[in-house]
Amino acid sequence: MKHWAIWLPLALFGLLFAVFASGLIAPGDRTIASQMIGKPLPDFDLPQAVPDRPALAKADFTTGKPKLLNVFASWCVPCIAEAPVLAELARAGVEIDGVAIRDRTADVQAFLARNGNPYTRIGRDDVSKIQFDLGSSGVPETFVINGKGIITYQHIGEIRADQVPMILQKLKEAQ
Amino acid sequence: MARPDCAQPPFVPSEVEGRDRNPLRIRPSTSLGNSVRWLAFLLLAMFAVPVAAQDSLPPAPYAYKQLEDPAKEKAAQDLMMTLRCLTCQSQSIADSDAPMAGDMRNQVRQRIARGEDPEAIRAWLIERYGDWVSYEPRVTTMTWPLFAAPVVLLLLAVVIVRKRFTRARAQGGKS
Repeated sequence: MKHWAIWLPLALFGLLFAVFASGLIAPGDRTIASQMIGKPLPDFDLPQAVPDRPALAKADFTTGKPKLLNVFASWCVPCIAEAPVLAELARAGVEIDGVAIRDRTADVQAFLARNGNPYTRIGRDDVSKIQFDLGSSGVPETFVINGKGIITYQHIGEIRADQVPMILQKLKEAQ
Repeated sequence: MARPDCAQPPFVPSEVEGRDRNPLRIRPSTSLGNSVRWLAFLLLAMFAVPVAAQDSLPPAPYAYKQLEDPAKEKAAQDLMMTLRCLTCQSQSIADSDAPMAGDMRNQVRQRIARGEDPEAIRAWLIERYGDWVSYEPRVTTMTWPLFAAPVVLLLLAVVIVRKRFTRARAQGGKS
């Protein structure tokens, strides 16, 4: 047996150890980005979620003005944290249209009464169809849609207060 | 990122009773009292709900219901086994109880019922979520070594074995 070969198992062990350790210390990014950025919004026409806000359809996003499409739910905990940030965006003049995922009217109403209602329109989707259309994999998620109905940006997870300028910038870029 | 995660089984502590602060103190509870408490706990555990946020809507029509046509159900099942759940990332949508996986099964079954080709449905999802969503790897510029490696290794093995055999035969002929 060659002299150096006795170190081979140890080297192999070291290599495997390094591989597993790196996977444990810095796990890979598990978020799934939508492949729909730069593509037109698929056709959809959702019913009203609450009586005091109109329903939502694709046509609402081809009015020439960039808007936010926010996917939320009353049962989604991060959505509560996001609510004041959305309100701030609405105060800045941003039009936010929402889709309530797998939600009941009464629950959405209670959620909006407690956390504020920054939405211009709210559609209701009981089977997450809009999420598959958008390439969205959870709630909350926010999409920037330019005035021609093209998806220009996807924000995964809740928008934090320090991300407001970035979202405003994305909206400006979409113009 | 805090997101409503996969449907987790309710958390059941393995130790029902808290440890005594003073181990010397004689505890008044008898073994009968213990078993009554244990029973009460088990009864309570029956009604435990996961802490993770879940919606209160019933599952989508075809999330847990099979298609009436067995052939179509078979096609749907085969496809669902090879589609990845977006919230429980190591499960197929056929295995996962996450609401979004149920909604995805609903989509798959309804599309198959409408006569869509399973591979077209897969392509529809890949268009939105990327190759990530499919468990059936495609040959692309990035994945071709995956398919080429076995062929290369097999050829290498044939060459080595051939060499050995011819050498052995040559030596056998000499002696």
